[in-house]
Amino acid sequence: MEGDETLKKNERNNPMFGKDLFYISILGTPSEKDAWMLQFGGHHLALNVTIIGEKGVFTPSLTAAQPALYQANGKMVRPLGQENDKAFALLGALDDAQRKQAILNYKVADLVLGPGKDGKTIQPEGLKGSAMNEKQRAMLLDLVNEWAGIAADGFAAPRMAEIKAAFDDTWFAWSGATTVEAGKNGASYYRIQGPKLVIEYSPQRLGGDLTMHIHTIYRDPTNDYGRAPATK
Amino acid sequence: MIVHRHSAVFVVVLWLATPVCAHRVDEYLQATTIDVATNRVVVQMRLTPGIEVFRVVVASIDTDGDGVLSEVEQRAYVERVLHDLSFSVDAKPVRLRLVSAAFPKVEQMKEGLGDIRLEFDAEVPKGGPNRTLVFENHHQRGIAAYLVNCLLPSDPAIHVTAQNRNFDQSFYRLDYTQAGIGSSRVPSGSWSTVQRWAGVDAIVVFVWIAIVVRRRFRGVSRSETERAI
Repeated sequence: MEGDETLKKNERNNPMFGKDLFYISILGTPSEKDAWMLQFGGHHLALNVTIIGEKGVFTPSLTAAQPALYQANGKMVRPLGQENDKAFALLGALDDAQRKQAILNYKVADLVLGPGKDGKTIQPEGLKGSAMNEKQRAMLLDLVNEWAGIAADGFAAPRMAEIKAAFDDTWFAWSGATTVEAGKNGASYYRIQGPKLVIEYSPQRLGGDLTMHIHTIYRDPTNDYGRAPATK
Repeated sequence: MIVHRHSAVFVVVLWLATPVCAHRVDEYLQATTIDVATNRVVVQMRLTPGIEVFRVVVASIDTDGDGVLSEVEQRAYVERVLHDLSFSVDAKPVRLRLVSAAFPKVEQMKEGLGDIRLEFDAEVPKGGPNRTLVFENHHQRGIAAYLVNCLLPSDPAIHVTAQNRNFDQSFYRLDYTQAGIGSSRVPSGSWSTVQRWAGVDAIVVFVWIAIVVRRRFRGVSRSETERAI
């Protein structure tokens, strides 16, 4: 939100942007038993939370930033800095053979499973979790937690356990430069895809500097918006 | 089931709240998904012109320049897109057929929010268990940003073995195996039964021919002998 306020200022107070343009929506009737939904979002943010009793589903959610690096209260802020740094650290922890598997030889210009792509699952590519060692798997799990962990612990813990259980079939794919300057964002795309997980991190061209404009999406293709039968 | 009702609403809300499409500026995003099944392939394209190139795209559709994308203009544009695509299975060109097309209003494209959605399909010609599908997209190459991906096959007979693309994804090759390729033939158990019956038939025919030939020879011999007598 602060980033969007900064964007507004950078864009000569463009009325399309700014933290005044964020909304909370409630769909259905809040209930202790029955399903209902909460959304919070605006430009570059869409958090969708489906709540069914004590269970919660946090997908699909979109987190993004522009500018992806700005100054606020005398400090440099990178809203998606951990998502960037942990991914580069994981890539750096792979050996040559693993990197060869993980790095795609083509450009990915945008989110593949962004808004409007509900229920779709693409053929996974990259390096499979089963080919990672324990340290690398822990790093990947920590990276996933940047999205899954946004939700409250009660929702996040079972979700992380579910993701961890399918780690052998979870893939890590990378497109773009493999190095980054410390404290800055890279311009590389990456995707984490498992049976119940899709995460994409996609730098955008707008503004000319890919490192300053990033879109991400977090999905559970089997249960976006709480669609899975178990949550009925 | 309440969740399902809500889902539809939320899909809309996600779209409205996150105008990520508005961020395309000087590129024409052309995102393609390919869904392969045993006998059929479905190609879905989502074409999103950025706000700085929408005029180029609209001008190529709205050929009479009246600001409205008429049905005739839409059809003509779809044909141009088709002309710029190349699709083959096992190195044999396959013609894509239009299933549906949806165009946004020009005003939506002007704001970078509109996308053109096209769906094509094609019959997959019969072939061996190892198949190769090649999809090429050269539409509006000068301003295009291409994406192409294969959907995870829902057909259990299909197993993707490799995907290869060139750097800008204008070229895509999918290798896959297709199990049960002989499913249209008679199952192996029945096949041996057929072979067995065919063998019996052959023996019967052979015996019948042998009898006829023998009788004829006998007849010839008898008559000749008779003549000789």
